[in-house]
Amino acid sequence: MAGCASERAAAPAGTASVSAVGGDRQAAEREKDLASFDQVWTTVRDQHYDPALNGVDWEAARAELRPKVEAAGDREQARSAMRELLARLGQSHFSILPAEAYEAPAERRAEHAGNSGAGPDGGGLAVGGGGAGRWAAGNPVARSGEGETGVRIRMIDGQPVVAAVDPTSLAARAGVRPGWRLVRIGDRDVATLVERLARAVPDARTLPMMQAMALESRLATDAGAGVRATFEDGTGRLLEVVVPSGSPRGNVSKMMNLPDTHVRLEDRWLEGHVGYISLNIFLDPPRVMDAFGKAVERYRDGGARGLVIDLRGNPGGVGAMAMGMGGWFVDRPNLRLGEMITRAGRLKFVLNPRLEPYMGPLAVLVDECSASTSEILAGGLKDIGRARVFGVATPGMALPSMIVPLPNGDRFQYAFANYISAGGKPLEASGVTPDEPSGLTRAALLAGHDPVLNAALAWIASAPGTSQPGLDTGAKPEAKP
Amino acid sequence: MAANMWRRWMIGAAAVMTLAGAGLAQPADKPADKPADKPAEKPAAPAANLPKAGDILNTYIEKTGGKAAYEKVKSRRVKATMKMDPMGMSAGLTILQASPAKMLVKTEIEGLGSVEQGTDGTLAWEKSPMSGPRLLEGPEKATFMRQATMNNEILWEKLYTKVETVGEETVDGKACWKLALTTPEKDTIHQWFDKATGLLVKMSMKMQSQMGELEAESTVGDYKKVGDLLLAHSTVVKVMGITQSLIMDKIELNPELPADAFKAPEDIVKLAEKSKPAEKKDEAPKPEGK
Repeated sequence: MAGCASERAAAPAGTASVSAVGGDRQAAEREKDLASFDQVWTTVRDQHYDPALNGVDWEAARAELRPKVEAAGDREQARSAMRELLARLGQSHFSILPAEAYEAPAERRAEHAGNSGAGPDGGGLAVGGGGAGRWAAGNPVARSGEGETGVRIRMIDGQPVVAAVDPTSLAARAGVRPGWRLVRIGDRDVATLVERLARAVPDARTLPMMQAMALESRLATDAGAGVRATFEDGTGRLLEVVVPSGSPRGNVSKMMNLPDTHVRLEDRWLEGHVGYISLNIFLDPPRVMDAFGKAVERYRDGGARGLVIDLRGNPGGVGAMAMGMGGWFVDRPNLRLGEMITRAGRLKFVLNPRLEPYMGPLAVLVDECSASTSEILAGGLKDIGRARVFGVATPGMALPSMIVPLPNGDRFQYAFANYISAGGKPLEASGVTPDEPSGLTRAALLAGHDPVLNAALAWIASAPGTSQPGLDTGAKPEAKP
Repeated sequence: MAANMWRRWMIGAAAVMTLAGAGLAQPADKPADKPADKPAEKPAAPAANLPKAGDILNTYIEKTGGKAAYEKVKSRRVKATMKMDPMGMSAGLTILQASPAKMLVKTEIEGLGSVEQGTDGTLAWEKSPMSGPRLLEGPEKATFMRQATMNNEILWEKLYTKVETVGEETVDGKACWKLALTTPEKDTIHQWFDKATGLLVKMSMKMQSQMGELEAESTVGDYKKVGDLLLAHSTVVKVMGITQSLIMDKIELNPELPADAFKAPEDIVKLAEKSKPAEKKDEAPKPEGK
């Protein structure tokens, strides 16, 4: 960051002529964007864990892209140039988060209004495209003041399908059901967006995540409003539904340079006397770690035959929380989930055994949207043989990163470390491969099943040691979902 | 003493935001590797004709109040503020310390919760919302106990196995003596003392933590008189490319501290009891469901 001034001084020649192109912009705004570009460029040069910058000619990239910032007609064009710079690295956790994502809901509304029901191409939410909705590129977790549909979209056989509907959501009340295929948002075919993303994201591993996030993001709008969408039900009938967005559930997390975010940890007994804990994002450590520990204690003391940790759709968060959670499932010291490697050294993700851990069968559910800290936890527990992982292969986006402000008001997320899971392999670009790849099918969803959860429950029921006499305390599963 | 208290928080902060979905870089063509430029380190001057390290350390003791003034201090209370501005993080610290080697550091980190580290002189522990309670052991414990030692400034002969002057360097325009202090764990701490004032202005060391070792560099300044002692009120730390500032808002010498201020929490005592037999075991982890 201290290098900004010198980087500006070292900028390629031709500034004056390029500036004329962007002459309508206030000079001060352009200067802020240039300073932001310089900060981004310098930070990556100095902080990237790989001094060779993943093989990218960084000097050449600056020479090519800095003039684009100088010529930018508006902030969004300047951001695009910065995103293009970061895209050269071909890695996760390098992004520009627009300042608008941090604004109060009222300030955001005008910008967002154009998206509501306007169709998939209205908001520029495509990868690298920008727009302020759901943090730059479509984060599935609602920010403060932003609505939430409770509808989870996943790509099944190349088609966007409703994978789950929160039974307490307005969308469930409006009749949206798992297994329905999403056909249109507003008047636009979602196939257009799906194909556009397929062209923009050649990485097959991360594409399903980006498609799912983009579609979920476009279905959501301000709480109390709705987005018109067309679905195909199990019989082939087309149904037009206004998908309402409600107030997001969970506590608002305010931390570091992240927008305010709703965090939700839920737990319940499942059939077969199995405990179930789900978490939508790894934030708000004081509250979440406390609630997680209490939930584990409850199932441990209640004699649970097994425990299911559901991380489907969880995009990550504070990496250290994975260590704290993992500590509830080991009974000896010196185990680790993995290790992060920076230019300065290596840091182990150590598990501290809790005083009375839960040592019964442990299943972790993941999908194509379980990223980062989710991958660190699931992959590490799998690698040390402590958990069995169910679901869909994760996207392999697991570089430890931090978020810093830029001179133009945007935020810059950058990875400063590589992460190697306990099994010895980097998670980036490879992700976590489930022990039991039990993917979703439309037929199962239409029949009201959750095949991933069912596979986990079947494994727990058959796991050695879970049927010994006296283990079942007789506690009844809760009826509510 | 307080200058070292940032270390664990720094590691916690660096470890880390790993959130995907805030954006995604697209894959790109990968040309041949190109090594990045590495700034050259300025070597220290040759060790010939350098003053003795012990003399430099004793001068520092004299310049900051003298041995007798240190020896009168039996307890300390420090209130401090830590900031990592680029990351938007800040924390409030309360440090209690008592002779001979008791310490409690409470760190309230905005958005992350309260982390407590302490020692009653025998056990050393940490409690955090992330990792839960744990005992400090090995080199990590040794480092913490050294920091907890009251008036460790005047006990260098006892705390380090070797001290030597290794050169002369300029730090922020000040001509300094550079010292190397070797710990019983065979780690080397470098310290730079201003030739003109005799004051400590910079340190570098390996940060020991359960997660591993990291090189850290800190500059020390804003010396102010507290009672009979001249104490640093500002430290700027650089580790893993992150800069963090620590400002001592208030330092009290010989405050009255609660009798149970350094008492090990109940879960820590239980952990200590549990760890005794566990140390004798060497069982392999039990895989589940395999």
